[in-house]
Amino acid sequence: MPKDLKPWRVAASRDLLDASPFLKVRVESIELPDGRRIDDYYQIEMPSFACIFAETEDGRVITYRQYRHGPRRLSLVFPGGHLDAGEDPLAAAKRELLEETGYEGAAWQDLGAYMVNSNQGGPVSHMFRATGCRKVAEPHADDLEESEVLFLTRAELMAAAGRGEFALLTQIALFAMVTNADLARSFASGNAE
Amino acid sequence: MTEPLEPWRVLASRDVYAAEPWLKVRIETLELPDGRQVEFHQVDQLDFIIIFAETADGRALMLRQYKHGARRVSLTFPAGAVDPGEDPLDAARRELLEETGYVSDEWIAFGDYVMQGNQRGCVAHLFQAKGCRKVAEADSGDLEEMRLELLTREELVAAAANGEFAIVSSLCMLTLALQPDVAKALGRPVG
Repeated sequence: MPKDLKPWRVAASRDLLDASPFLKVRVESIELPDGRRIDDYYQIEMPSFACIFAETEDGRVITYRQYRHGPRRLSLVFPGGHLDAGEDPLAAAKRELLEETGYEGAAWQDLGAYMVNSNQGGPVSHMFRATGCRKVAEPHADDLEESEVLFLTRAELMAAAGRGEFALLTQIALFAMVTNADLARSFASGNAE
Repeated sequence: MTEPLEPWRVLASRDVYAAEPWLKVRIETLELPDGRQVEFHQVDQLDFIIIFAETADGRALMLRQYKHGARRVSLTFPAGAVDPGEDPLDAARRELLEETGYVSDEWIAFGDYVMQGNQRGCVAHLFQAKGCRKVAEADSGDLEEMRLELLTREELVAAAANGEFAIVSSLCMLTLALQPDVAKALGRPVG
């Protein structure tokens, strides 16, 4: 059995580009556990975001179809958005769902926080599921994207996934995570609110 | 019904920081369908492949390693950057062999996904490799010290619920491969 896996030590960090709040690029000097030193390990800082699998009382999933410039094409996406500075991820998810859709969830489940890039860091994707969602207000999103709001069944989402309509990794991950019976059961033993 | 959703037009792109091949930051000037012009940061990172690799007796080849992006030890699938001009499936075969010492004759592609909705980042190519067998010793050449673990699907699910997956691409690979309906909808044999 190998010895314990040790973290790397950051010996130095230098800012290279500061376009806050959107983006910051740093270069770190890293010391590996075996003593080697790497002087050009690039790190990116970007605002973290929440993604919400939101199901209405009759079991439809609130989904958007919109052009996303990252993939350069239309994609199905779930409600979500950036966390404000210092904002609690669940509070951000509730706020974004209400702002974007006008819906409120009766029950929330935290499905974990995942780093987008394993080497360079970047944003953290906070995954949530909201059930029993009902409309309590008019939406007032101010995103740049034009959106078509869809209320899809899980079967419709599955068919759309098979047609390649999910362009973004975080979105297909959330869909598969929630609809995976074993994972759903395991996560459900966690922190519902 | 809304109007058809139109793509944005890239009017200009200028480099603001480059540390190639790992990273490039650009600012694009974009024209929205309603005529507005906006500036968007774009981050160009290396595309990568990631592999759900299972042995004939149904154990997944997993790597446990410290990942500096997440600042912690994470369970990860074999993965790595696609070399310039390299076919993603070739990259997957190469990385599987380098990182685990295993090969497979049965590959399934689960599709290509962009990492970030606005800034793009890079593309992840997701694969499943079945019937993997050991032919060599692992020799990743990576900076990370990694531990190979052969886990059952039940152990993978327990690890996910236990928070042992820190990276979104690994979580995605896990959930796509282990959700039978999704695996069937997305998977297509390749190679």
